[in-house]
Amino acid sequence: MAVEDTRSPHNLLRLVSLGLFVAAAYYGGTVVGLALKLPEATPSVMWPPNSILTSVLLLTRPAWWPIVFLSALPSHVALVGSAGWPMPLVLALFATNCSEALIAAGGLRRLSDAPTRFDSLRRVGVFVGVAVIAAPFLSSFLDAGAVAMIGGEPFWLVWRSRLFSNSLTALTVVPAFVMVGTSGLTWLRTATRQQFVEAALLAASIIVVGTLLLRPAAPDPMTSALADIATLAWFLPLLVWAALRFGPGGASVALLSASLCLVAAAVRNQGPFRGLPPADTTVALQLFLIPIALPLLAAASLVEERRQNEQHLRASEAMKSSILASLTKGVVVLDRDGRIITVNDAWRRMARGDTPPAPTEAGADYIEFCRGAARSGKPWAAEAAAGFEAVVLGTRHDFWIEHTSQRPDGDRTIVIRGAPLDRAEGGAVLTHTDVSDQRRAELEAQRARSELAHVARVSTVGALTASIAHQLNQPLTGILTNAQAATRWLKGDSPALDEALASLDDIVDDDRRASDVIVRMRELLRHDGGSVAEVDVNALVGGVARLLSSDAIIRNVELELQLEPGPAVVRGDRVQLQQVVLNLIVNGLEAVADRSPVDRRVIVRSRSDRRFVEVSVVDRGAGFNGAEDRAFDAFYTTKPGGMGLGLSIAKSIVQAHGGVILAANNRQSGATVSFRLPLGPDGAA
Amino acid sequence: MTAHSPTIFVVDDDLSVRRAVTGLLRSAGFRVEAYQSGREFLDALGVRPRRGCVVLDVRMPGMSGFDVLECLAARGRTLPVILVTGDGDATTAVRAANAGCSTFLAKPFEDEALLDAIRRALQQDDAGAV
Repeated sequence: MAVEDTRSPHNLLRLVSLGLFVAAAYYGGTVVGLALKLPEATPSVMWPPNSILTSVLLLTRPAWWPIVFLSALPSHVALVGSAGWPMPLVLALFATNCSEALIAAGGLRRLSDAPTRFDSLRRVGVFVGVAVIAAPFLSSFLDAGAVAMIGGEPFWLVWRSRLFSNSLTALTVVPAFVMVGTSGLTWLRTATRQQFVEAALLAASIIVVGTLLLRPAAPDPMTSALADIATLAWFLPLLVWAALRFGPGGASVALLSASLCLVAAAVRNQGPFRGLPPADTTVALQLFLIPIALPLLAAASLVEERRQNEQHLRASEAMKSSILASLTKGVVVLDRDGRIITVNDAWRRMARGDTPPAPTEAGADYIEFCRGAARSGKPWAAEAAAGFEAVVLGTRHDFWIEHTSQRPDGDRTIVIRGAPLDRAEGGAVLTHTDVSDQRRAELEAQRARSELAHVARVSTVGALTASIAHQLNQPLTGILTNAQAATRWLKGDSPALDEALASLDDIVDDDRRASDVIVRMRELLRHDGGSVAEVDVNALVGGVARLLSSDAIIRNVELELQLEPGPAVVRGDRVQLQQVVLNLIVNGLEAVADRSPVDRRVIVRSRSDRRFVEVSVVDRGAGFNGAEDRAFDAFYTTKPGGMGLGLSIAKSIVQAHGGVILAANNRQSGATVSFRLPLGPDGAA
Repeated sequence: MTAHSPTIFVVDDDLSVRRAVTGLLRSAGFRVEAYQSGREFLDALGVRPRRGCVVLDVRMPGMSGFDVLECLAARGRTLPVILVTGDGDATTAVRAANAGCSTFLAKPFEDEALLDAIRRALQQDDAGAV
């Protein structure tokens, strides 16, 4: 019966069952122990009750140990007391029995990581040290003391006999009892038919050999002795068989069975130990069985440990294979020479699509394949071969490359990343990721952003129609008036050539001025963003301010520039940066539209240091009204009819240029929106 | 009757427009004084009586053409004013008429239109001076 550890305070049935079991087991153990007592010898060869107590204590929680001891007491008194010993001695012997169980179980709980398991050499070592040596050693002192004091027997003789008896019993009974209790039922449920047959065969063999021990002795002493030795020898392979095939549990049960057979034979004055004085027979049996039990248990634990390690290794390998097979990225594992150790299914599928197919077999040279691809005209392959070779040799920690693979079913964009293999022999793990869909999505997003920025630019320029018309009107007026004036100068009584030439010069200047306005409009209305080049931010801000000067006049707003002298050059897209400045200044002009004349003012400042240029647009409008954190959100606007895209697009443009953009209310009134861009290599103002 | 010849005062913030109009009026034989802002014109005008007329741009930074008209009226100046603007819409035209300006021209304008307006304005100024 496996005594399970239960925490239910109300489970009296389990407590009662435990008590009854302990009482019955202790009773049975005492009966067996008394039966294993050679006539006229005080000590039994084996004394099971102590080991039964130890086993039960190991299988129950410490809070229930008092119940265990109390349940065993009546059985002890009933049986040991009937042997004619005085009651004080009977009670003293019970106390010493309990002390051995307490020392053994308490010590094992403290020192072993799994007190009820014998599946490693360390755990068996702890068990032998505590339960087979230490506990009997110490409790035998109490035992011998009680017997010497009350029974009048020699102290050291009693101590030695108790020590050997209890040690042998602990070695044979405790593992068998505990393993049957913890995993006996499980084995019965899960064993295969073959295992059942084998166990039955082993059990039958032990019984047969044990029975042979009980046959009458041959008349010839020599023949009888040889027959006994041969019979005894048959036990050894059976015990080894049990240890190798059934682990510590089988070994301990087989050992207990064999021990009982030998002792039973000796009790009947049969078997290889007959003929000796009872006391000597007892010691001989103990000294024969203990040296066999110790290495047998150790061997069984080693076999079990190895079996579990192999099982773990198989499970680990299976898990790794499953993980590798489940990955959607193509994985190739290379050794130090660049040859394939293993690949996963995803790589096999990817490799089939290449022309020629990429290597997938173990031993194939992946890096040489890359070199071959380079020779056949794939420029990325040379860089890949060099990079991955550096990784497998350990001279490089990480390498990745992106390339486009032309396939019959369409081009694919593949990113290959290599990392060193974490083992002493070196190597690398390459992952191949198909990012085609991702790149397509990025391109689409980029196109959409560009389209949106263009729409915003067109919208802003559309809002500046009156301003643009005003800006064109001025030079057109100049051109017409100058032309008419020149005509008058030339038609006069005395043609004033100088005056006419001056008017013609002014016409040329006005025409260029009008052309500038058209060029700036055309630049802003371009669909694509233009190219990246060196851009003088101060000049750009000045140009946008000139563009908006008419708009400021129309709105009756003073637009003031406070720009740092000299250029402040950044690398960027001129059109996009113009759009940012345009948005900020237009927002400022609109913010002060309904303010008093003294507040109808927008200031644009620039300042720079060695690393950055910062442009600020300051207005005295109503400010952000508690919504600074939303100012850059797409589609957020406080302007009726506004799209809410201006600042959002400005932010994305500034960030794309490696800068930051901020918006904050001014201390007194209005708001300031500023952006900062990193200066280019030649950019210091 | 003042002793000075009539002067055409050209007030426009745009340099090229000022130069072009100045050139045109001088080619027609007029005496011209050009100013780039309403404030500069009023300061130069001072309190001395002057004969002539004003060619005044509407959209200027700071002081608009309508602001200059108000100042002239407040000072009791009766110089005829010809308003010129890039906004040729009806709203501006009505506002100009209500402000008492004699003529309203949209840019770009024909030389004869400006010159005719100036001649009418000078006649009006002469009639007022008598």
